[in-house]
Amino acid sequence: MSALVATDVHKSFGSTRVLEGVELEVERGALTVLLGASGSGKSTILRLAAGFERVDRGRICIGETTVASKQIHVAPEHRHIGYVAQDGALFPHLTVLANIGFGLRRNRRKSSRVRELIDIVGLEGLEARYPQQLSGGQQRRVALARALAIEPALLLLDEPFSALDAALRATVRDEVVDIVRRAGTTTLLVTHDQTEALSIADTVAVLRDGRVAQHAPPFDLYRTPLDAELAAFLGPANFVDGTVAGDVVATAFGPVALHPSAYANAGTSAVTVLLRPEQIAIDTDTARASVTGTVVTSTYHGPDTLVTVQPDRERGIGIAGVILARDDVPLAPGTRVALTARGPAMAWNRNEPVTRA
Amino acid sequence: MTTRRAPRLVLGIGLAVAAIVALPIVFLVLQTAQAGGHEVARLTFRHLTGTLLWNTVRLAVVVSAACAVVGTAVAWCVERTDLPGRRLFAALLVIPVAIPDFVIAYAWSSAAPSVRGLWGAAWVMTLALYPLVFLPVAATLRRTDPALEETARSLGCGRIATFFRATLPQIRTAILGGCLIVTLALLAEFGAFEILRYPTFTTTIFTEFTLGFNSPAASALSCVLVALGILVLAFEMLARGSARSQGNATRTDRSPTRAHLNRSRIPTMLGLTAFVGLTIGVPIGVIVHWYQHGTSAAIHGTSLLTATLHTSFYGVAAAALACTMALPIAILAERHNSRAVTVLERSTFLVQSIPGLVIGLGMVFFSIRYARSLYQTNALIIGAYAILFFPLALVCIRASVAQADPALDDAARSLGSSPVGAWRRVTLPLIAPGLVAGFCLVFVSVASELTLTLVLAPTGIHTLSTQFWAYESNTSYGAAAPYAAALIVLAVIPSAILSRWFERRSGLFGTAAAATTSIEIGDLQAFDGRPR
Repeated sequence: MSALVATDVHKSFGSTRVLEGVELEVERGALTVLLGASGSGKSTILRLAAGFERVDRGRICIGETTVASKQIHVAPEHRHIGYVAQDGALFPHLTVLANIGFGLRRNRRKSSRVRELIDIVGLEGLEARYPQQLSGGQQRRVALARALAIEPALLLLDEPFSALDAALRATVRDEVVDIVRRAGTTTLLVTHDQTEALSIADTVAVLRDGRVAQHAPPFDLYRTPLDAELAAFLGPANFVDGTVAGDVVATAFGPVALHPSAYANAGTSAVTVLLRPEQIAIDTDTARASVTGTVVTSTYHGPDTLVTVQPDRERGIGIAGVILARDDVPLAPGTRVALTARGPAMAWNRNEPVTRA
Repeated sequence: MTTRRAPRLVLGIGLAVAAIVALPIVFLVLQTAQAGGHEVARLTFRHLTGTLLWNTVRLAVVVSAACAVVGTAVAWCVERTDLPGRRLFAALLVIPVAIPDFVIAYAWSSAAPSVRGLWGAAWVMTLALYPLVFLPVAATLRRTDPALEETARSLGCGRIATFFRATLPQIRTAILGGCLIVTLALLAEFGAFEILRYPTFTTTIFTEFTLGFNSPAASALSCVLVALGILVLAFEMLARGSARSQGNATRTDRSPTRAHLNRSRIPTMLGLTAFVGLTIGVPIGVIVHWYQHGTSAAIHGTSLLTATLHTSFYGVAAAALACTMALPIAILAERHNSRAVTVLERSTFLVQSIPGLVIGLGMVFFSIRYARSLYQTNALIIGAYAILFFPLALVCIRASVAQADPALDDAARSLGSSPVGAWRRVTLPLIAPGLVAGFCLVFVSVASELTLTLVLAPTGIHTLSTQFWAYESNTSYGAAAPYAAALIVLAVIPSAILSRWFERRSGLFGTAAAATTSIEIGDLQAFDGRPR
């Protein structure tokens, strides 16, 4: 049962075609993240679902009801959808309490429901404050409580964390996700941040060229993207040449196990293999390895280190450029290392060009 | 912005300018005081004062309310609906602010003699002054975050409920500010009320001054008028202050979703067209009519040309002087913000609440008593204009100084420019738009000024407005028509160029600048046309 179904949705602004046949299903009770580069039209989908814009073609259903098509346009106030704008869009002339109660009928604006929401979002004691007296994180929570107050069938969050600074961002994100999950509200969240999408979503839909390119749970999306461009978009990636033989693929690293969903893609034997940095192990003992190289850079993140290795020419055939690997200690540039790969790996027919690496 | 200590020279110049600007008020008080306390009390607390006060208050209430409704409605149509031709309407709706109020009054009263008294005055002044509400409201609508309205819609509010619960609270201060400026304009207005036979403080002061040369009575009434003006100005500053502390939601770089008018599109267009007809069409139509059919119609080519030249001369000279005076104060206020500077700047803004007539009278007293040789000279009238319209120049120049970040100056210095070089190559180009805008606004205001000109113009010198006034006063409507037309042309064309130019500039500077620029235009056009 889906809370929102978008079928073949088209939308242009003037001569700019933003959406060209979007297909999207948001499962009831789930947190779905819509991921796309800036300008990919991801906010437009939210605005169409909320009813702020009209669709050119296609259909959007909320529950059983068609709310948008070429003929039908249900006004935003009749859609029963919670919408949280990028910066929260709190009414500057109203207190926290009045903001949260805005969508309720007059007699319920100070009811226990509002109290309960203040509890849920943890804003006790701040009821009489005005929005400009709150921190960025508090403002987001008020905006969220205000949207939840009307008990929406669907909650739309438009880049809710992008205006926050990095330090605050992770905390506020965890808080918001926690609140939404506990409320059990079906949520569609838009972001351009891959890490954010992968870490909070039940499923991620990637928007590209006006369409949903792939819609899958985070791990599946990260490890088995539909093509190399998606792979590069979702995180650091190594692309190496390989030859399929049964359920393994022969590469410069030796044989690597293929992921089951790679079989369908790799129709021919010549393939491009995707190896994420964490699938490449680094060893300073270079004696028996099939691929060796020299460390170029080493970026220390704390929990892990992203290492760039320039493979030796004679032992790194079929590797385009440098190899990204993860390790737990930083390595000095110039260190000689051996690289080994670990499956299962995703692979595609090599005729499909790697557009971004 | 970092607070830097003001250089002595700039501070000195600033103090001198503030002193000069405050001159007329000082002389007014001196003049009144000379009559003696008892006499002043008698002249102030008499029946006439009460009547005038009642006239002023009820007119202010009616016109403010009407301007608030009309100005907000047209601003919403232009900024928040998909009305076809809304850019053209936006331009047309501003024009009445540049047409002298006395020309609009002349048009209505000569076409329909029944337009007089309270309701006649209210009708004419609403048509003339509604842009003072329209401009700030439109500017505020343009910069409030459309997400507020969208959020209200998503929370179940219909279009009308959204307007009252989400939009109106955002534009409330803009409406209030506009209404207070409307009230200041009503306090200062002379010509229109004289034509419409509606006695106010200004018309009575003028009569007492010209008929009886009764200066103590005139100056006592002027003091009441100034007190009223200061009261209104104080309210205005209070409103602005609270608006600032409330902190408006800033807009995102997205244009608002415009309401689809659907079936009401045609009626709305017709309504707006009819409204533009009333505000611009009627004055122009009546002028053309009197010129073609009036018995006294005859263009005295040379006198029209001389009057235009005099008006232009005064306009250019006063605009140059006002901008020169405003520049040091603007720099002080923006770059060296301290309590003393704030007080200095505020004191110059007091002039804003003082009608041209009062400044004119102050200058007359001053010259007769202390500088006989200046009386009825070009120098005195130009100085008086510059003082009267000083706030206009200051608002424009200050806005552009605010945009010229001193860090840019520092950057130029670090790249090897001398202080003078940095000023010439960085600061001046950045504040030039403000200087040009201030110049144009003062020019336009001088061109349509009437009372101060009547009081101070040297004998034998006629400007467009005094000549128009002379003909209008003995009901030679036909003879007055060409002067009215020339006044409109002289005032409207620079205003139109100015606003077009502002729009282009905001396009160049991107959305952030567009937001600030629209505030500025709102602010400064709100000041435009105020004291005449």
